[in-house]
Amino acid sequence: MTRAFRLAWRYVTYHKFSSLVLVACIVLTLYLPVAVSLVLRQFHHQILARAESTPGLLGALGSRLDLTLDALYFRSDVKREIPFGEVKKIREGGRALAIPLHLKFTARKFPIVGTSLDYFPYRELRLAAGDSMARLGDCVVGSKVASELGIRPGDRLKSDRENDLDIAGNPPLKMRVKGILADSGSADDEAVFVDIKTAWIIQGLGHGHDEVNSQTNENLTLGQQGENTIASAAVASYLEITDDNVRSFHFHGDFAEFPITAILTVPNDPRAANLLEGTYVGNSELQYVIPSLVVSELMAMVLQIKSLFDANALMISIATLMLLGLVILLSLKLRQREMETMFKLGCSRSTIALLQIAELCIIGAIGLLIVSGMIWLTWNFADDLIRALFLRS
Amino acid sequence: MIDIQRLQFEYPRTDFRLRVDRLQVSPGERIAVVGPSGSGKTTLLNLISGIVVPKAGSVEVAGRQVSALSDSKRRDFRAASIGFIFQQFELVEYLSVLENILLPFMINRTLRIDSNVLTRGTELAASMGLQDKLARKIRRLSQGEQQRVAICRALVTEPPLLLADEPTGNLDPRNKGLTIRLLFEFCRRQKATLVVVTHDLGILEGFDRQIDFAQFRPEATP
Repeated sequence: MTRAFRLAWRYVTYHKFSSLVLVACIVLTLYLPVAVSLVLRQFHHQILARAESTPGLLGALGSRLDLTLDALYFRSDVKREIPFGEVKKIREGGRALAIPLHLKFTARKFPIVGTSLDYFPYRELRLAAGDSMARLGDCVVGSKVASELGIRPGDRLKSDRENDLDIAGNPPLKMRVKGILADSGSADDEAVFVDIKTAWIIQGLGHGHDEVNSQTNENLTLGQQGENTIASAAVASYLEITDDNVRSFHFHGDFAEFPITAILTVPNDPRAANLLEGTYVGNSELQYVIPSLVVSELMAMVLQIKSLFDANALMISIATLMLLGLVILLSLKLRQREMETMFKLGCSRSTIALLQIAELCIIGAIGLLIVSGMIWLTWNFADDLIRALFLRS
Repeated sequence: MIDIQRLQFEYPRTDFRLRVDRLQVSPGERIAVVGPSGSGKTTLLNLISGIVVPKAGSVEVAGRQVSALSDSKRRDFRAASIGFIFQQFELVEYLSVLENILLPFMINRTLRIDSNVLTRGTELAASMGLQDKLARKIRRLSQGEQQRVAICRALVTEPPLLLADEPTGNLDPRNKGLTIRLLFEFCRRQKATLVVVTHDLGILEGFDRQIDFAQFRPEATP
């Protein structure tokens, strides 16, 4: 047995290229369907867990799936907005907790999530370092943001410019990193959380600048219009909120009209949930969705597509096996003289067969080893892979 | 060493027939078997070594009725008692020179590789001028070197009987002479018997006896 395997090993290593091709055939045939099943299972598990922990979402009318994925996974390129006043309406209705979500900007490619402090206990997020947001301009970052950017509490993190070519656009805001969240294994690890008002400041709806009136510096004013002082272009807005200038920050307009992306709702009970859902039925601008239902619909569709893929994979596997069989038969034919010589030298037919089997076993074992390694990697990085491939904008 | 009596052989589904009434070869004798293609010279070697068995008659080699042995016994007998040399060398390309020489020990369960065998293999290679090429792969050897490896492989079990099928068929004149000299030298030293099948009339000098195979008159089925 050992002799046969030794000879087989020499054959496999001598014919490196053809052995590699056979190994590659085995790896691809086995790995792809297994990996797809694995990733899909993880995807299902991950997306369903997050969806089930989110009882309801209110957002602008449009794709229910987009609204769900935007709100659950913080896809930051969200165009549709709803007024912040809806948060107040829900809160005043007393049927549910309403948590606003503002998703429009990024900081070094990580989404900035404008929300309220209610978000953290609701998602059971706890701080690993530092403190919670205390004032405008503070942010709390997810564990992955902290590790990838190498930031600690007290550091500064600048929001990304909306458009690098638009120099007249809103300038980036330098935020103070107040705390780092503990790892949660969810999309929260990859987000930068700020207070909703800080998000509006990044959007340019609020700002802070030097005090402007005719007494302080006449170069900064263009004139007086009733009680309002008209500032000149020389007045510079603050790019960072500090303890010294925080008082100068203010908003122009009504908060109720300010934009948010979605409202995460946590109804008090099933009846409240039904009533809340009913409130928005037929609304021409808003829609109320239950994420778990949306995700179930998505998964039903995905599983249908997967069954097609499975059938395809099965056919490819059969074709590959047939090709492998053909290759092996041709190889045996080519090696007939070698086998005949071995027989003449005193090798038994069964040892010759064992030699062939040993070669197949070695190639199969190498293939399985590689497949196992790749599956292990897929299993360990499936969550990151899923978020990177499907759930990030 | 070899005693063949009233041998009849035929390949199934062909019109090939071979009949040998009597053929005797003494121990240590060096025999050259010549004859036209298709006359059954290679078949004779296969019968002597037990690769095929006769339809009738007997083949006795070194005192054993080869034709009466079971498959596995014939195989073990072949591995231990017969050294084979082929026209195309039939070396295993994925093994090194030394591994090719030791191949009979690697593929037969009755033979064991020990330090004596290793030494013998290495010394045989050295006696053929292959001492610096033991780790080389076969494709990196010249034709003459490959035939010398094949001869080493045939001799490494120290068989009492050497069967060579056109051993010089693929060699240039210089290597032909060398190959025959090496075979004769081994047989003289080991007192082994040598049966060489050949078309090459230029190498017949030095053999104790020549057998013209045409005399066995293989018959075609009408």
